[in-house]
Amino acid sequence: MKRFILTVTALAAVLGLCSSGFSVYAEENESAVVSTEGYSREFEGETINVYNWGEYIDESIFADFEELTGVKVNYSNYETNEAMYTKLAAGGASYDIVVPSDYMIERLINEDMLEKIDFSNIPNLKYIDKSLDTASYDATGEYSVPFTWGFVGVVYNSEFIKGEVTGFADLWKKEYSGKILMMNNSRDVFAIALSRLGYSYNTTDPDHWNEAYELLREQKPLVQSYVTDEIYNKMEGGEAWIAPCYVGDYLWMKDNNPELRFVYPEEGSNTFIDAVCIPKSSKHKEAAEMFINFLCDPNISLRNINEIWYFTPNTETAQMEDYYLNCDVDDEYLLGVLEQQLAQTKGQLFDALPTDSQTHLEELWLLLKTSTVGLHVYIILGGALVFAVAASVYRRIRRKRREASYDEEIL
Amino acid sequence: MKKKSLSSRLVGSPYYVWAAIFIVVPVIMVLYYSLTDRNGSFTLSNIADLRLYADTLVLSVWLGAIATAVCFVISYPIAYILSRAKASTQRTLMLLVMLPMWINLLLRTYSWMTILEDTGIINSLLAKIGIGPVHMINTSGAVVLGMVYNFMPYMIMPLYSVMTKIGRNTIEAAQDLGASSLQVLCRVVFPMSVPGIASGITMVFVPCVSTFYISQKLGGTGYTLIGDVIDTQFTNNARNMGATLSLILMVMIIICMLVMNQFTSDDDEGAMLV
Repeated sequence: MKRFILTVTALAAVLGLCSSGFSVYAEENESAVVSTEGYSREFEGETINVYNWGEYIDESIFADFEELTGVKVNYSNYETNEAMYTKLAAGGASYDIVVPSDYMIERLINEDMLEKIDFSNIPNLKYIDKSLDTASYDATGEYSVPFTWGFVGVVYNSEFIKGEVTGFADLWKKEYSGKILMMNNSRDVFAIALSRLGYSYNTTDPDHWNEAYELLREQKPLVQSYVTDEIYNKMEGGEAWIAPCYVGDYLWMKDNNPELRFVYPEEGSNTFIDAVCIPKSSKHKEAAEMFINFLCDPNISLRNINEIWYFTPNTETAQMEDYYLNCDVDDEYLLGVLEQQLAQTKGQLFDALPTDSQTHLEELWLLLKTSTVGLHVYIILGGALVFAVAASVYRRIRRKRREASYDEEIL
Repeated sequence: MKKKSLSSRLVGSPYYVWAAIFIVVPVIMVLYYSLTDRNGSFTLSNIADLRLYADTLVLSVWLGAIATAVCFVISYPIAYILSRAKASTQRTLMLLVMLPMWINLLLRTYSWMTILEDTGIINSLLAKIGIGPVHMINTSGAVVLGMVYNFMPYMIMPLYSVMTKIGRNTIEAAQDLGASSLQVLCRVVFPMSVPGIASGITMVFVPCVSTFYISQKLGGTGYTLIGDVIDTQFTNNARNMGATLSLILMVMIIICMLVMNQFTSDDDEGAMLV
C-alpha cells in the first residue's frame, strides 16, 4: 500500500512539473503586461472579489495578475444589471470590482454606492478612449473606467428566416411565433418597445411606459423565452430564429453558426458602455485599483476583448494587429455599422431613470412576467376545493356518529 | 404527560436554537418585508396588489394539482409492485427510484430541455423516421412532465413505506374470504394506504406549487409560476412584494398540509415520517 502511495505521489509530482513547465511556456507565448508601472506586492495574499457579467472576461488573466501582485481573484457572475444592483443594495456580500452598464453606474453614483477611484494608481488610464460619452453617466468621471462598449441589434438565422429583417418590428411577426427570444432584463426589453413607438429610452412620461408594456404584452405569446446567456445555445442550435442581442454576443455566436445574420434596427437602438467600478463595500480598494490598471493594460485588454468579442475602449488595443476586429471579422455589414457608429451619432444611451419612472418600470416588468389563466381553471379548482371540504366534513360527521354508536353499545 | 428531565431538554436544545435562527427568524423577516414598502414604512398595498398575481397563483395550483395526480397514478402501482417484490429486488428497485435524485434538479431540468426542444433529441430521432417535428417544449404538458419527473420519488417513497406494512397474510385472508383482486385492492390495500397517499400528495404538491426554474425552462413565457415571479421580484429589487407572495404561498401550503393531515391522523402508522 505504501509503495502504491509513493508511486501516486511521484506521478503527481511529475505531472505537476509537466504542467508548471507548460504554463511557463504558455506565458512566454502570451504577452504579459506592457508596463509594470503601478503594481506592487504590498497586498500579497489578499483576495479581491470581482463581480462581472457571465462570459465577460478571459479568466486566464487572473493567474497573471496574481503572479504580478500576489493578489488572488475570486470571480463570480451576474446576469443583469438589476440582479447586480439588488445584490449590492442588499449588503452582506462585499465586492471589490463590478462592471455595470452606463445607466446603472449613474444610479449607483446617485445612491452613493460607489467609491471614487484614485486615478493616480491607474497610469494605464491614458489608453482609454476619451471620445466615449462617459459624462452622460459619470458626470465628474471619478467613479468608473470604461471596459467595453457595444450596441443592441437583431440577430436572426438566415436558414429559417428567408424574408428581409429590418429591425425590432420583426420580433413581433406572427410567422416566427415560438421562435422569438427576448432579453431577460427590464431596461433592454422596454427599450425595444420604446424604439418601436418612437419614444426616448429615458422618457419620464408614464403613458409611454404603459404603451410599451401593452406592446410587450401583445408580443409575449409569440416569445419562446426571456433569456440572457441561453441565447447562445438557442440561436446557435436553431431552436430560436430571431432575437435582440448585444453585438458581441452576435460575433461569438456567428463563429459557431455561420448562418446567423445581424441587423442594426431601423428604429434605432441602444448603445451601451460597461465600465469598471469599485463599490462602497470594497475592503481592498487599492488592490482593486491595481486590478483596474491591469485591465486597462493594452495586452490584457487585448486578451479580454478577443475572448468576449465586444468593442474595446482601449485605443492602443484597438490598433493592435491581433485585435479580432482587425484580423478575424469579415462581416462587411457589421464593420460598416461600426464605422458609422464611431463616426457620427452613436445610438441612444440609457440614463438612470428618476425614482418614479424606475419604480413604474420595475412594476411593469414584473407584471409582464405574470401568467394569465382562463375562467375554466378557476371553476374546476373551486369545484375541487368545495368537494374536498365537503368530503372532509362528511368524514368527520360519520366518524362522530360511529363513535357515538360505539359508546351506546358499550353503555 | 411527565415533565421532561433536564438532560432531555439539553439534548433538545440545539434543535430549538436551530429552529429559532433558521425557521422563526426568517419567517418574521418575510412577514416584516411583506408589510412594509421599500423605504421600510408600514403599508398594506402589497396585500392589495396580490390581485395582480391571482392568475399566476391559480395557474401554479392548477399545474401542481395535475402533476400530483399524474404522479399518483404512476406511482401507486410502482409502489405496490415494489412492496411485493423480494427483499433484494426491493433494494435494487428503490435505488433506481432514488438514483435521479442524486443529480441536481437544475441539471435534470436542463436535460429535459434538450430532449424536448424542436431541434432536440426526440424530434431529431422522429425526423430520421420521417415524422415530426412535434412541438413539445414550452407547453403546459412539458411543465407537468418536468414536475412529475423531478418529484415522483417523493410520491413513491411514502406509498412504498405504508404498503410494506400491509402483511401478505392480510391480503391472503381477504382472498380466503372470497374477495376478488379488485375487491382486495379497493377494500383492503387502498384504505390501508390512505396515510401514505396523503403524505405523498403533500410531499409532491407542495414542491410543485412553489417550484421555479422548471416552468422557466420547460414552459417558455406562457407558464410562469408563482415561484418564478418571486424569483424575479427578489432579483429586481422588489423584495417586499416577493415576501408577500412567499407568505401567501406559505399559508396555502400550511392549509394543504392541515387538510392532508386529517387523513393521516386517524391511523398514524408513521407515514409522515418519510
